[in-house]
Amino acid sequence: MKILVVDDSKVMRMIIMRTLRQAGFGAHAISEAGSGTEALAVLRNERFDLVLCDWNMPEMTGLELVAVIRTERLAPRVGFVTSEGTSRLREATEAGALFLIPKPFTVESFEQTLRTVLVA
Amino acid sequence: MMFDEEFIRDVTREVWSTVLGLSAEDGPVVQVGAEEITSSVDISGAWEGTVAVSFTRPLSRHIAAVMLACPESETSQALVEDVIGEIANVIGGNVKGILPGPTYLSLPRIEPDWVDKTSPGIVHQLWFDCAGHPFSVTVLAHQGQDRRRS
Repeated sequence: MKILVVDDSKVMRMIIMRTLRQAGFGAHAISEAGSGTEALAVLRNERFDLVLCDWNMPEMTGLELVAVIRTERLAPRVGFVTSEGTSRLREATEAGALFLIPKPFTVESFEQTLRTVLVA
Repeated sequence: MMFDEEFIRDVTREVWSTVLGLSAEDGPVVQVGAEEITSSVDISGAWEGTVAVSFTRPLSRHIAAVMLACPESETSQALVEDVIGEIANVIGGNVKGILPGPTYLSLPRIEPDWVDKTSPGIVHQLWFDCAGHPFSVTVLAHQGQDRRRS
């Protein structure tokens, strides 16, 4: 299983990747991208099973990125990790996201959400 | 107003405990020096304002080191700004989350300053203590004027 973490904050990418390992997903291949544009370049060349995406990013927002991913069928599972909170869940799902993990998150919230998504 | 001081206090403490693994205790209003730093995000839409978190420089480096799990000597200024920007982003996002109507969150902004108690437009300002260092969380309503200490 290959997971791509997309966030314009290097620190947040590090924390998400650390949380993935702590939540028991450390055996998967985890990669990172610092922008929507960089993520699309990676996804058009390499198949990922899951994309975890920030919402609020410069140049290309998370919503715009998810829309392209769904249109071009670049990844089967996409979700948000964002400080926007669950109030944007409807907007996220309409764009094609399967889930939204609000910040601040815990290891448990990652484990619970991703176990459900990855077995579906 | 949809949020009160208690909400801001709870969100801040939650961010400190879950993101940093540190405690944020209520702290006194203190006179801070000139070498301080503030990260902030703007909220626009149905409500317009700013959520700002002001740190002493030593605390900003300490938090970055904790978040990155590395010695303070290995925290570059860029990483420190990234860390405190994310903290403002998460607190601001939670404030935004309880506001009615469509609202939008800006990207984090870093300024070499402290939002002090005389800044115009302050709705709430809470002071905390973390590891012996003060920090404050300020919510300012936009009033079409300079909201910051010059």
